[in-house]
Amino acid sequence: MNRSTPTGQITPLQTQAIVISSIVGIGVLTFPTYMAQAADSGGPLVTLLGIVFSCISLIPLSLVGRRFPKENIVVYSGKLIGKWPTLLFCFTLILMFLLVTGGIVRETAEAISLIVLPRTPPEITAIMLLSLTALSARRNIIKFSYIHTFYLPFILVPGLIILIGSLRNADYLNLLPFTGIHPKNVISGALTIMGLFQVSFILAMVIPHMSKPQKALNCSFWSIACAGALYLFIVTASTAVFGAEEMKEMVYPTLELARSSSISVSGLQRVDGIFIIVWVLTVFTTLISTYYISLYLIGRIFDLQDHRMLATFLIPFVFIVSLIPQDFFQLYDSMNLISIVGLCLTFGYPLLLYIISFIQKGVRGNETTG
Amino acid sequence: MSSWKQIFETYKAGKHEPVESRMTPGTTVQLASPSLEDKLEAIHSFLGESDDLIVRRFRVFGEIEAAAIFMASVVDHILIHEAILKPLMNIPPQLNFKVIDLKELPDVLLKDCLLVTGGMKETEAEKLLNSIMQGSTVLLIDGAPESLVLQTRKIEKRGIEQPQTEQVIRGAREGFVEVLETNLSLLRGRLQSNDLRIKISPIGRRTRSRVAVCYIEGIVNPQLVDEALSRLSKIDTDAIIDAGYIEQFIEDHPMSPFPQIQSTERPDKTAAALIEGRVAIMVDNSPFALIIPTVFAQFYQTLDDYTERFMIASLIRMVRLIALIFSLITPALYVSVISFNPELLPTDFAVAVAGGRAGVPFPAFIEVLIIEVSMEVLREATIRLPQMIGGALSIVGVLVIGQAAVSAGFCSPITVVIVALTTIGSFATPAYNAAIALRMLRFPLIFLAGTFGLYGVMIGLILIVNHLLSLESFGVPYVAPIVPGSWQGIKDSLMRGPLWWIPNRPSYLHPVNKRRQAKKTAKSPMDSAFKGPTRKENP
Amino acid sequence: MKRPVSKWLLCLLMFCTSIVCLTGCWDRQEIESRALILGMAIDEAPPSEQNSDAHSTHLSTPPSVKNKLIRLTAQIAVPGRVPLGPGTGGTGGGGAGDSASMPVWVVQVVGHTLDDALNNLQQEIADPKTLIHLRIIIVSEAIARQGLDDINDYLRRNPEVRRSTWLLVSDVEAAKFMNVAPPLERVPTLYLLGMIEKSTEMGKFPGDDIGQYWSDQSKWGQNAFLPHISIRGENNILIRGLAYFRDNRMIGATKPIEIGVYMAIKGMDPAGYSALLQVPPLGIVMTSTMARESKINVKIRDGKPAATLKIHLEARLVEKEAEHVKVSSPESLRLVEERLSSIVKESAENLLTRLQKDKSDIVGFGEYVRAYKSSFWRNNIHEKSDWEDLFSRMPIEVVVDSSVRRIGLKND
Repeated sequence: MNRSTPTGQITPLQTQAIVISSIVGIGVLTFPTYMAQAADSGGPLVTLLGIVFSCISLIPLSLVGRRFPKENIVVYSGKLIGKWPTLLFCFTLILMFLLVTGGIVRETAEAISLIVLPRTPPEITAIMLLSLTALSARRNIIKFSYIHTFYLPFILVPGLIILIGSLRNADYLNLLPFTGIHPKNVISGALTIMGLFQVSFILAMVIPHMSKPQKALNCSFWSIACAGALYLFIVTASTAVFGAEEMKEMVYPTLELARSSSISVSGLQRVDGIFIIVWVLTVFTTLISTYYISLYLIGRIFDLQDHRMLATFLIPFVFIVSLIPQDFFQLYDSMNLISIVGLCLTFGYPLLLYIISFIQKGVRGNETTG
Repeated sequence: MSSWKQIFETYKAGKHEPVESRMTPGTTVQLASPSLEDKLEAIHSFLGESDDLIVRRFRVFGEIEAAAIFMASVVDHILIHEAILKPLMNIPPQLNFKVIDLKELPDVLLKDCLLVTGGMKETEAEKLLNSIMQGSTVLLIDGAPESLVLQTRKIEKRGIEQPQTEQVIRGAREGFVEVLETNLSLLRGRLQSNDLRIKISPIGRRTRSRVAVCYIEGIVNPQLVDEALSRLSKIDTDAIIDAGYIEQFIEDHPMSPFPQIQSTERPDKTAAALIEGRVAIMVDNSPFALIIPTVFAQFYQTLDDYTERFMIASLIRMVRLIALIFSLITPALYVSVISFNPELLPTDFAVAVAGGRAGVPFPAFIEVLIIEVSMEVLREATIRLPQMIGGALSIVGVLVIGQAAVSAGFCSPITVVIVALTTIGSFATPAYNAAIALRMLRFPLIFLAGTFGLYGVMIGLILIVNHLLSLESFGVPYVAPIVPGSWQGIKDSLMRGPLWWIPNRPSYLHPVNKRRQAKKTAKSPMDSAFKGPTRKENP
Repeated sequence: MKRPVSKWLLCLLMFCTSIVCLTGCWDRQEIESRALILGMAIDEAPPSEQNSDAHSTHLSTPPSVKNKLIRLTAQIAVPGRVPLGPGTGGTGGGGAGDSASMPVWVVQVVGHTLDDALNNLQQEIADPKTLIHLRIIIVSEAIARQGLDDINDYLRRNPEVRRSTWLLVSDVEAAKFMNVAPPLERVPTLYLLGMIEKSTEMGKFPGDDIGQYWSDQSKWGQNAFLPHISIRGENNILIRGLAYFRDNRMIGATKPIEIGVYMAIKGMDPAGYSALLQVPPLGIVMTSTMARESKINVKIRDGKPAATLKIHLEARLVEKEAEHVKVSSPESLRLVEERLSSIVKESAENLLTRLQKDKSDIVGFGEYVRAYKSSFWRNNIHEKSDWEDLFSRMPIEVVVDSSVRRIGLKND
């Protein structure tokens, strides 16, 4: 059986599925609160701003990836800026994504502990999720794309149904004025959204294996647009149903939104059961993406044939990272900090590469496989 | 015929060696001596220990000594005396006054006298022995070095009946039998195309079962045939008792619970599969044909879907899919809702369910496990019972035992309903091996549900789906056509699109010839009627 | 070889962690061994009941809560008494067919705060309590007037409590509701719940569950309200009106017809109230409202907000008391319409005046100002009480318009 990574087989549709399902993840649960804190009823507008910024921040990555269609980021970055700066950037990225994985696992375990399994130690929940991730991240990138493509409809469709069901209680007034009364922290709100969307960096791993790499830019736009539409819908529905002031006091507004949703007047109560199911799925797809980014980069730096053993061995490290924050507030503060740093990296690094590739116009990609 | 005492004495005194060891390894023994007695002695020394070997001496044309050697149990005796002995004992008119060299006699006999359809000359000992075992008659002629091998095989077989494991409402009532020739005739009768290729060769050292690989040249992807043939050539084993053995040797992922090769008893299904671009493998002595490659979607599709109209077929297919999913997750969902997340039930129902469970001594998890295991035992038991008792027992088992268990306070009525739904769901799956896979996977899900509730069920389901997504069957992803997406394939997987909507073969098989239907096949006869007589249809 | 080692190690890791799981399914709690609290009633308890404090959460009472004692009456579902399916008894245990015994268990405890009381409750009952099916919470008026802050805080933090729970204010002792056993329903709390929900469906009450209450409470431009209920006779529950709040304290209550007026002001559908009208030439007629529409406009005049309220009602003639007068022409319907409009306008103005006096803007005019005149809001309103003051002085113009189009099956 052929175990080496095949190339050129991921269709643009699958690429979009990968990026969308990676982005829609744990942030879905808590981000409306941040938006309300940023700009009251202007939350949706801040989200839109953040989405637009994310679109823009993915452009350098798609462009530079398109310029080197068959090579992975380690290789062409090495060509453009030299071996040691590449190693520096890549190691920082690896570390960052491992931290992000640990943080996501911790957030998920906390949420599950609160809502679904109060007496189960959150460590067990975290270990289960991590084992699942490790088992699934062992595969090559084609199987990885299958996973995302398959799960995407199961994430989007129930999500949409729950959201539409919650509109029953929506009040148009809550959304006005569109720009909010006291838009104090618009920029930090937009940055929060960008931080949630930075998993789209996975695109860098996928471009070398795409069947049509010239469509990378197109794919990146559409995937951010689609994931962004879902986020926009969530924040609009939450704001409309609860009102900005109430949301500022809620920890998990999306969960409450799902709880108050009902498909018909008297039937199908407590749709939050479906919500929990769908939500574990969305977190899982995000987790394998962030984990896979790190594994892929390490694999390419050390030129490993496949990263299966690596997937197993890094699990204890990620688990320990997930145990570090001591309480609820520390967790969210540290995740914010990591995402700010990550933003600089995931935007700045490809931008740097693109500018340099522009300068060094002669350096173009060869046809060697990544 | 010697008495048992004599047989016993001979056996005690004899050396018990297999035939192979009597032949010198590395050389091909030739039975090329012109002397009849030499040849007979050689053959006797190899095969003489079985008492059903018959040596029939006679004289060819009244002059030349000859002997026919065959195994009495596998030959057609009538054929032997009509087509071999009778014509040889009399000189045919055209040879009457000719002088024939003894060395050329086998050739002359073959071309002028013998009436058997299959015949050839042979000198290699191993091939002669094999052919005797397969039911051919070997003709040894005094004075001629070559021997003649004549096909006279006849094996008892049952008549063609309706296949037991795959009953359909609307479709042919023929199923494969155990004889390869009959099966091939059923297949060729349905696919009278010039391009149907059948390659036959034995596998298995002792059983030497003939295995036939069938495919349609010009439709099938050549790499698929390559892969199939290469895997078959790597099998080296003693016995191929049934097609199932071949399946286990050539499948991609032996450790997976899901079957990667489909087996069927129906010739019409096999013919349809060949037309789509698949390869069929048939084994002598097995009524099951193997169809490769297989995707998961095939396990809830039946032939009925295609012989009925598309709306009915689509709805029924969806019902089957729901039944399949039910049979996997219903008990796990029940356990997790009752024990971990009762907030998902409506309040009045929750209170009532609590009432229903009040007297039961076990937690929901244990109760479901006990009832499920009992159900599995019951199901296994009914397979082996004869028809009459089996039918009654299933009714007795479900109704009486279930009702009695509830009244005794042993389990709650809802559990019985849930388990019954699950069992019925698994029966609705047409493919037996896939249904077993899902039945098996139910239990780990129940364990996970009993430990972690809905979260555990979700983790279990994600694990199963990830496993499915990574399976491959002969290079085809197991979850095709859903992933990688192909609109063409989806039209025929979740629902059954109308025939005029699916003009192409499934793309995941990478067929050489993609189109199976004319582009302008009208949806209904009225369409072409109203469009006028000048419209020409492409062939 | 790399491959078997990594797979084997992963299996080992998973095996070790699954051994840990053998210590128990931590969250497994069978549904029949949970004490499902279906309804709660919260009353004030006189300090004399201090002795029954179970001291399950504290040794000595901190002085700030020493005199504050609440009595919690909880209705717990008893598994085994509520039959599964129509009428026939369940399995094992539980009196089947014993209709005199209620299928719920009513327990009373005292405590200083809500969670304190719940812990005392847990001391007294065997099964672990769970609030996942808590549907009704009844608070006595006395407690409502003192303030619901602490109760709401507990309910908000608890992940088991749903936002679709109903919080009701009762004018008599709340505990009485827990003993109400109407013949129509097996579980009393569910009867209460059904009553509230069905009146919402019939258009007799706005859908104001606790989630909506919390949302309204948080908004700066609106004040919250709750259903006000009472008991009539032994087993009959009456909706007495809306209890309106300011700052989580109850300020006043309305009459039942004023619920209809409120819903007309907000334009809520379906409409379910009927009006008894005296129309001079026709005598006493009764109309039933079918649909309501309303439009609220706010303007800023001289630096102060002013509102215009336009209500439109669709009604139907259901009863005419005087036999000798005929309602047989469009003009008579117009008379009815005029009378209906003027009655509704009067009631609306009365209600609004009263609300303005009590500074409780349950209609939510503030939200309209915030939405449409956001610059005014930003400059003038810095806390919620600012709007409450502005509201009390705001001129509101009410215009009511109604249409009576149908007269039923009798043609005069």
